[in-house]
Amino acid sequence: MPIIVFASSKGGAGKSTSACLLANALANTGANVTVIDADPNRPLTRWASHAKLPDNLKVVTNKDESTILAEIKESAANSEFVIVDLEGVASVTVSYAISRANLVVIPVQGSHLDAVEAAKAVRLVRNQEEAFERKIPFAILFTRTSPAIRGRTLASIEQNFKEAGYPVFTTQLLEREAYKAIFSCGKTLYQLTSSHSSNIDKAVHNSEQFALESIRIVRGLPVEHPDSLGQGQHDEPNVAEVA
Amino acid sequence: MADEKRLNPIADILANEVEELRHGKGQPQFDNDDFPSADKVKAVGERVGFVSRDSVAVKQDETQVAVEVRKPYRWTTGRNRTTTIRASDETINLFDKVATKLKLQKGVVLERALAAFIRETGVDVDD
Repeated sequence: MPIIVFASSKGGAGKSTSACLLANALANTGANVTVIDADPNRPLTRWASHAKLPDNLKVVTNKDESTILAEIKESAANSEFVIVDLEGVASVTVSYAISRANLVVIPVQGSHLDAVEAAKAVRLVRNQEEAFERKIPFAILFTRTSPAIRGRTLASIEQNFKEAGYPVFTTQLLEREAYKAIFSCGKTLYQLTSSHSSNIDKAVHNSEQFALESIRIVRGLPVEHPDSLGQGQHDEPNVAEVA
Repeated sequence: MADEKRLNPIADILANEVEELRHGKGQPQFDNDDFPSADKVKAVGERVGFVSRDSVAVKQDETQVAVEVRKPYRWTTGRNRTTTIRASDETINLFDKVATKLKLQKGVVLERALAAFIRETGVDVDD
């Protein structure tokens, strides 16, 4: 089953949060999911140590670059989905993980600094594709975007990516209090209640849109716009161009 | 939870997609034996700046070479003793003036003055 890798050489782009959300959404379908925490800061290991995770969701900690390939191989043998959260640097560990990926998710916040680092990750993916004659599906994921407005910088970056031929998720992970509450409260997204955060249903919907799109990319299926997936309950922003 | 799922049909679509993947429909085919070796992956990554971040132990020999590059610089004159000489004010003032004028330490002036005196008088001091 698929190995989905979250990569960006910039810290704070949203790798751990988006990896955690994908793991939550997939585990909620009943799938057996292993998350490999390969970030030296161990954000998901810490989260897992406080959270009461369901039996089908496991977080393992990778030691260093010498162990990542074996860790991926072992997890892939024992899980239906393997999700790898990488460190925010350009390292050999990132190269190794990407070489085994069925999908590389490259999170980007709406800033040029994030975009530059995302381009580095894309360059690595394409170099590996060329060197090893293996297609590695990847896509840019915009994170922490506003539910209400769409800034010009974000629109400009998105346009640049499209012109460069970078696939971009139609779903954007919005700025949601519930996503922060997962870590601050030590819960899965599905364990949160209204006492922890507001708009949990919208956060669930948004993260499941992202998960669905990820699975369709892995399966090589056309991705439909989130508007056409499900009915009602859309968390699509009321798009307005602002300075 | 069942009510929530009815409100969020995308959860059902996602579950169906996972189920289809589980049963091999569109499942990615991969075999660990087909993957490139770690060395090849590392080489490709390094070409685009993805390098090793692990610390590397330095060999002991290299450390010793680094330490022995240069010793601290020390310069000694050997003039480390004192003596008291009774003399007139004029002689002491003259001694100070000569040392100041020549920009020499007084010990050096004394050495040169004695050498000149020996040359001038021819006195034998090597007994």
